[in-house]
Amino acid sequence: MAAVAAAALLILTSCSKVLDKDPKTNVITVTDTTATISAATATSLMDGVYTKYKGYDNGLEFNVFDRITNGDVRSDNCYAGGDNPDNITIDLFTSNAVNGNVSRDWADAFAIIANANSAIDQIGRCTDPALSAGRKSQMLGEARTMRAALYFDLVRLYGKVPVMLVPPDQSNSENIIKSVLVAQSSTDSVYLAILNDLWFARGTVGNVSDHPNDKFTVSKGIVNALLAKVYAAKSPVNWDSVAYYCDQTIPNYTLLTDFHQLWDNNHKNNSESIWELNYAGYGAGDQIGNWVPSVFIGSGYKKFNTPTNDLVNVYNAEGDTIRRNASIQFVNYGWSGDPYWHDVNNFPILAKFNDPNSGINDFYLIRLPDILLLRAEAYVAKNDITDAAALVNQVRARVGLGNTPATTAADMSLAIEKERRLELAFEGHRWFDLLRTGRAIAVMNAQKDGNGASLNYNVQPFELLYPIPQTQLDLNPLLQQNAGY
Amino acid sequence: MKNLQPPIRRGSRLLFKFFAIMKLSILFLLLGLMQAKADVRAQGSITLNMQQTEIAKVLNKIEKKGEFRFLYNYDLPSLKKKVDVSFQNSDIREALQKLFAATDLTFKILQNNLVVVMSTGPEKQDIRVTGTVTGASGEPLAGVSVQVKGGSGGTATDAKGTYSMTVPDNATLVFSYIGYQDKEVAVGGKNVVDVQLSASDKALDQVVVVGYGTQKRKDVTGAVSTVTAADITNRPIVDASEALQGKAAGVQVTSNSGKPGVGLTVRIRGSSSISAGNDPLFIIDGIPTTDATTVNPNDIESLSVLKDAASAAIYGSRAANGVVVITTKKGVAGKSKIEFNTFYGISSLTKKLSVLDGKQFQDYANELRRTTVVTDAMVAANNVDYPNEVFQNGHQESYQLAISGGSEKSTHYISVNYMDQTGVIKPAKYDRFSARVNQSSKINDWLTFSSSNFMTYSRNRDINDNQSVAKGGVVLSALGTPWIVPKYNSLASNAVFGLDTVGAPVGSIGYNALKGWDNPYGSILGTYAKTRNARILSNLGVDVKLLKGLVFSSRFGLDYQDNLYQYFLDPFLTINGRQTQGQQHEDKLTNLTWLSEQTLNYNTTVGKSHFTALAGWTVQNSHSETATLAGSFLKPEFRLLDWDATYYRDSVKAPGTSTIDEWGLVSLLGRVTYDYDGKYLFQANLRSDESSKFLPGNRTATFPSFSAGWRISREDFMQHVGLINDLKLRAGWGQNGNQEGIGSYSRVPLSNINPTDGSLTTSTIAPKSLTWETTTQTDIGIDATILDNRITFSGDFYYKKTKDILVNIPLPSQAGYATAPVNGASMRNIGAEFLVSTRNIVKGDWRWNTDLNISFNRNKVLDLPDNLSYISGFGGVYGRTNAILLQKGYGLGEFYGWVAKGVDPATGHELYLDKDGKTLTDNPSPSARQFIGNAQPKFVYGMTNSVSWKNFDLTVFIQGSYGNKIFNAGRLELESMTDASNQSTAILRRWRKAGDVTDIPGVDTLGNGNNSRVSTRFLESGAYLRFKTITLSYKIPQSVVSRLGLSGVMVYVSANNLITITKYKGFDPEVSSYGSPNNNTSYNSTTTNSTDNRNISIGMDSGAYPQSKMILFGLNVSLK
Repeated sequence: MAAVAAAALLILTSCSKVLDKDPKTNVITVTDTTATISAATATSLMDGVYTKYKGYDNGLEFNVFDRITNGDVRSDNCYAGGDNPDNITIDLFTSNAVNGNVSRDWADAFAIIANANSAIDQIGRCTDPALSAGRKSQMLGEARTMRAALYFDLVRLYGKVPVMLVPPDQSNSENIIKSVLVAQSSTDSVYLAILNDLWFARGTVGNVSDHPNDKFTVSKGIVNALLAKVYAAKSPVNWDSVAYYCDQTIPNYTLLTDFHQLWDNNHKNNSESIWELNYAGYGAGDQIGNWVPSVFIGSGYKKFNTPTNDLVNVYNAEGDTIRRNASIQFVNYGWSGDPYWHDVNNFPILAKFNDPNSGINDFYLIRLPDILLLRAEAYVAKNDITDAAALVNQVRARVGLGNTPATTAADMSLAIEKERRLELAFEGHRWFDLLRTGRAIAVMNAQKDGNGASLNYNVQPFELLYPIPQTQLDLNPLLQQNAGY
Repeated sequence: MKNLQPPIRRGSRLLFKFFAIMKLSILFLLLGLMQAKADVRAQGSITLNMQQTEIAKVLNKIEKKGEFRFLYNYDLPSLKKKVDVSFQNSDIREALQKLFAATDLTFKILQNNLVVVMSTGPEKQDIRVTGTVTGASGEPLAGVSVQVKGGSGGTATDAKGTYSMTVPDNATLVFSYIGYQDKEVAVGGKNVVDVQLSASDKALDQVVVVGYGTQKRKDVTGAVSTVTAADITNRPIVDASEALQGKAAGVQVTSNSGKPGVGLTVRIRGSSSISAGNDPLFIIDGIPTTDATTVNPNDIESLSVLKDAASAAIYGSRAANGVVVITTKKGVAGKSKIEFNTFYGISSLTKKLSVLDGKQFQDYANELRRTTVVTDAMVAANNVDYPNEVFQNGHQESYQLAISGGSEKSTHYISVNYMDQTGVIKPAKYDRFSARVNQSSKINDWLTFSSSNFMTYSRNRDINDNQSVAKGGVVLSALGTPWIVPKYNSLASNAVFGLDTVGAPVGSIGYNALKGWDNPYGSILGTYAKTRNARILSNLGVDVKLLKGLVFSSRFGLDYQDNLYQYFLDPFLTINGRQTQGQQHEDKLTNLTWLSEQTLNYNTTVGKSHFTALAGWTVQNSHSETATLAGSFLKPEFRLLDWDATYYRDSVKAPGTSTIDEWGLVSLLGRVTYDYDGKYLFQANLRSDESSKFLPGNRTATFPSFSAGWRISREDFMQHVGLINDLKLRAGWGQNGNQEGIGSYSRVPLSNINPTDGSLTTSTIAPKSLTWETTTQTDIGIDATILDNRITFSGDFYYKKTKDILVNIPLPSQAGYATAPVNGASMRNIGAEFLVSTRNIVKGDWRWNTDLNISFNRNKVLDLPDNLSYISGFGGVYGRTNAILLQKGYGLGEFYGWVAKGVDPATGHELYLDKDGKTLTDNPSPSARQFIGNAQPKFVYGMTNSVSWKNFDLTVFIQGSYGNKIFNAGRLELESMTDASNQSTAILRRWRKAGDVTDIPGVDTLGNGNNSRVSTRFLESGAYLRFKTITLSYKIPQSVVSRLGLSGVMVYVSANNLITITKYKGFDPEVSSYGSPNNNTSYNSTTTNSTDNRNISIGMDSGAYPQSKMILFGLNVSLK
């Protein structure tokens, strides 16, 4: 009896231990505006923003796999390949608001943004003296650059998007909902938010020379290159700004002499790389392996993103064997991956990716030729054909091609467009180039299959933007569907 | 001479007997006198006024006046009758006539005003009766209560089942024993009364286990369904929940698939939550748990389902989904018993689905690709009938040895069991060893120790089902792999895996070159997923009788689980394996839950009032740890080593992680019951819980309940209604809570720590207001037994409303969190359930009993948080839109899609109705989708017919569901004609040229899936009627058995799932692809079913492992 009573008493006294259980293997996010975090936590949060930007949760899917789908499949560089109706309908311009890719791209980009928002919020409130003011604003600049890059992707994919730059208000459930129901901003406002972040970052992030062998960490080179690209995409184009930021970028980089070295995994973070997602592979470093190439190449599953007949023809017409061979490889799979290529012994796959197994293929978000050719466009805009030609020829010379024959502004524009296509194929740029130059509809509707028959894409102006995902419209009554969908 | 009523005290039996004998002698003497002498005239008169007084007292009063003296047997029952008397100088004769008017009393007036009062009824004589009480198979029953009907006193049988007592020669003896039907036998002057009791199922005196105690069925005021050992016996039940299927009204049990060890979905009176748990709370011998899967069904004595708020409220915050109280077998004082039960069964597919053969596939594939991709040579080279290869016979066997017995002082039940089950698709299997020791020791009059101990060791080989072919689901792979694909590759090729590998190494799994998918052996041989689970569940208790009627009980329970999950992807056999050069993953989960319960029980009887009270305090604490290891890049030469050996040789290893999850619950509970004369019954419960899952401030919740019952049949005015043996009205109201399924740390926003570099990323969002769900339920019920106990009926109506339902509301993406847990939905369930048990034939050697139950439930979401009108994202179908939408005003499992209107003869495209309901189009907009059906049945039912003749017994148990729809996503894949996977033979009648009129569209050469959208085309009726078990058993005659030195032998043959009547076109209508918490073995899969999906995405069939039918043979032996 006494023993039972004693046991009961013992248990009674440990009641608070039973009821107060804090998470041990997670960290409670600081959301209270009066709270602060340590310098170490701030650093971990910054690392987390980088990891999320390139990593498994959303980064690889959005920044690598879907970037190529959006930039190349949607354009005239690739057929969808694979077996997924979501990709196929994007390729055919028959996708709608319930398309899985359309939904997940929105979700992925905002997930990375929101993680950055939370980090920016928490780091901004760090008062730990161990974190210097300089380092703190440098971290904020780096996080804000990634956020800007994501909004830049979003505004080009979807047009008007909601701009959210702070974490949700978590004081109660009503406030959570209220704070995340954000209406779409005009594209100008989205661009303004992007520019605000980049302008801030320009003053705080490190120089390219600070970490010459690390092209993933945000540097001034990345910020300037992004600014150039943003100004080139924002309508009306401010060519002076494009030129200015290109000029700020270019001196920090030089082209590799051998185009193949870009893809051989032995020249990571090379001299022409401006912004590069580093993947050390499944077993090394941060343990993040780039799985995307396994979807494009290697044995097994029906491969996604098959190069088009048109692209192969353009490489061949140009005599551009170096870049063609580096970009496309014809293999004998013994079977055909899609309806556009019937010769089972000669089936094209993406060769810029060569590692379907160990995950060590890096991905270039921006490399020097992109900015060089953008600078060339800025020259053309100012009717400076000579300087434009010089840049184009610099890019061509590296792959053993002669000077461009273009002499007029119109020809030069097309020459630059083609040069960008051949140089940057499968790096997620082509569609956005066509979009920016207003040539998307004309180019796509002229597409033919291998036999010269029209592919009947019949792209309508509204299809230049993705629809706002139906799930998002369902969740946020403030959103409006893009016209035409 | 005064009257003969002796001044004895109750309980003084010897004195009583003495006087009884004396009194009888005198009576006989007097009677003799009466006959000798004529009636004499009495002198004097009576004046008396009394109300509601016993006749005996009236006589006493008259006597006190001094004129008359009475002589009578004070035992005559009629003397207790209360009467009103009003005599005014009445003549004694007149007065007594009046007084005895409505009784069997009569009188003689003797000389000297001595009046003899006697009964006209037959006179009683006490005799000694002995006898033996045996059970159905002739085994002696110890501890059977033997009582004189309407009398006091009684005895119990000894270990040999014999009893002996002295009773009036015209007495009726009542034999009662737990688990058996009461039997009444008139002594009729005999000195030996042997009785055979038959097992009871519906007896009113059946003891029903309720929360923290037991009640007799007749006293129950809540809605409680019970399933007893008899319902489980001789059935191949693996999971205890299965025992409830079709047997308990108000309970819907669905097997998620036919995969061994996969688990079931149990819903009691519908679903009451959206994002938190909807599974009932199980109480296993006093220990609350949500996992009863490993309990050995053979050890179960009874399952009580506490359905309404009133009966479940004692479990307070975890009772909203109903409570299933599992009580395991105990030893019985008396002779020891050894029982051995075994069965062996062979299982096979209930149905075959037919797919294209090689030639038919060639025709289809070449049409799809608009060129010859499949040559005649390819067709000739291989013709592997994959469904036939993959679907084989499975089996199930079970061996159970149980020893039980005990004495007055202590009892024991010890059992060991081994069961082994293999499925119809290899290598899925489940086997389990379990052992139990239940023991109770009475140290002395006031102290009893008891314990219930259970240990189990189970192993499970899983296989990936419920997945599209693309995701490696074995079922759809078996159906979707063209027969031209070789079983194994014979193509010699480059051994370097990678870009240059165009073929595959010799001996690896053959694959569909047109798709790049392995044949089903990829799932079967190329990968394994093994789970082994060890669990110890032990509850120790002490009961201390403090005072008369007051018992203090202390219980300490421990539930320890050690679970190991190992996954391995072979680096050589499959494409995926070669790409990653093997992958492996291990989760080691340990969970330690302890429970401490202190309760005080009091019961007392005052006159006809019975009063009980219970007060208790319980604490439960849980600690789980999951350690994870993962590796990849294994050299193929090591691939055949076991998991640990290969892990060490992996050249890439992910950082090991260990996550901890803890929760605690502290509760106070109380209950009072009161009844008057078993006629008016009242009960009130209160439980107050504090949970660690919520922030202080939201932590505490209190749940009350009240119920009442009125046994109308006990009322005087019902006594003459012979038709009705028992009739009771019940009503109850109460509130229950729910916190299951709410994460241990959902109350705070969390960031994940990256195990590689310690970097932080935000992972969850949390409103500080997170709290309990509360369900309020009203229940009205009726219990009746009529026609000489031949028909038992029970009916219940309930209204159940749940508020503050947790909903993981999907947030717009800019929030950065997919969902936020918000309390804010409300939902109601209205339903009715009926149970009828009849004893149709009870004649000679024939017995025919029927049990029928049927349950109706209507579920409706009343409100969603934040004025949302719907939430999407449920019922995912690979490459298509989601099939289920959660919408205010509709139930869970509401299918949402396009309305298909057949094939356009001109184009071969599937046509759909557009939003206006008229326009036909082959490319309707997402907004043209509408609600097309619901996955919840209108009713579910079960019926058991049991016919026995002599030693034969035939039991037929049917069970079914009506009015539910199933989305056949498997058929979508097999008829979509979008890619070069094998298709159903249904596509042989596909559209081929303009003018063809058919229900199957043309080949989808673009692969955009427009012809096979989520539409009514793939929505099918899920109604079914199933002959769940048909069992024929034979008890070998006692004479034969005895010669073998045994006390009972029974052999039986049983057919399970033999016949299923359904229109459903998939393998089986009993399916729920999202029903299990885990349905996927590949570790990097994102398709682990969320609680939300389990609750909402019901009625989806994405290629679930099919149910099987089984024929089994069994043997039960018991030893003296």
